Amino acid sequence: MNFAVECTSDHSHPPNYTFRSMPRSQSAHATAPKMEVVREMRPPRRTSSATKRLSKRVVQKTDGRYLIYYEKP
Amino acid sequence: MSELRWHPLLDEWVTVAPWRQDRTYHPPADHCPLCPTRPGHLETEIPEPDYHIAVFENRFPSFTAEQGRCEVVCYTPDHDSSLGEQSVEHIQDLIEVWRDRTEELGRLPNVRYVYIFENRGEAIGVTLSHPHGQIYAYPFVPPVMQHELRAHARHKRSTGRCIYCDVLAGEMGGERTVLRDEHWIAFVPPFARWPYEVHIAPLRHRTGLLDLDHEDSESFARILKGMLQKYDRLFDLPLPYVMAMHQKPPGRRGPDHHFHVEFYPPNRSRDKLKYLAGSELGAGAFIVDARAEDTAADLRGL
Repeated sequence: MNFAVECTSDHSHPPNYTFRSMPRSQSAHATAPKMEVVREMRPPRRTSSATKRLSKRVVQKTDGRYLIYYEKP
Repeated sequence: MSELRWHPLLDEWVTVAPWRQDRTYHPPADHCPLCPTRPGHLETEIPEPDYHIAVFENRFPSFTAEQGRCEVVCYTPDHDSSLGEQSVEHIQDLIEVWRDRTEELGRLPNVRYVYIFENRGEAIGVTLSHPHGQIYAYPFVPPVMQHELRAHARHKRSTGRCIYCDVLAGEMGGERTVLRDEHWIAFVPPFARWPYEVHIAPLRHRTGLLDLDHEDSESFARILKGMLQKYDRLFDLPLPYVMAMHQKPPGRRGPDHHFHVEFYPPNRSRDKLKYLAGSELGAGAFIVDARAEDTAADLRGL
């Protein structure tokens, strides 16, 4: 087995993961990043802990990255 | 995007992100990218002249787009401050920010773990001295968390109890306690791998930041501040450390875990550092130069 090829996720050489011990449950996301997976999410807790102390303002930077200001209301 | 390479000998991912080689390296204080932008000066990462707490996508991310996220959390606009110098109220605000990021990043489809951490001090390799932390939203569960989750699941199967709750039960004698109130404890674990390693944990079983109620958050902020102040008094210097938050992976059906924060300061004295070398790096076996009971007593007495 050529590990140099087998161990990479180079898009031009799609890896053929055959290692028995590899956690396949994790590998899908690492090797096929565009695949969308629907997961059941925890609903946010609506207890006293959810009381918001801050307001949130999201802006987009000129290079496309986001910046979030957390501010006192 | 980064390239993820599988390490077949260790059963874990290695992330290759060559562009990080060019990341900002020890800029002078008046060119700090995490300070607010001062009128008439070059724009920093934060264009406004002031902020309370700000979060932005890392310019040199290890994970981005469909892989995950890397965020920078600016604790305060004050360049010369630190997390431990913030008021309890400000730290409570920061806890709310960490909660919000945990929830939002945990919702991204490919994210398997949201990891909040801080590297402090040049000895740790910090390249920006402005008080800040980071958040990595990984497309896999990182190895240390995998180990903890497996140990937790194994213990739960054999005893029916949470392994960390049992660790905390062993700390009620107080020999290794540094700080404590009715909700949280800071202690040097008997299995500490660093001389002044400390864990901060809720006494009641909480799986992560999203589980904390108001009292938990308030107590967490107080204990966190108190611990960091003790750290800086230990050798009368701003103690370098790694702060690592361990919480359950996102998703309601994810595995159970007991939320806790681990601190690894590299100092074993004021001017001597512990280095990870042959045994630790080559064999994964930590050798510690101090007993947890003694270092806990040192910290408790400060």
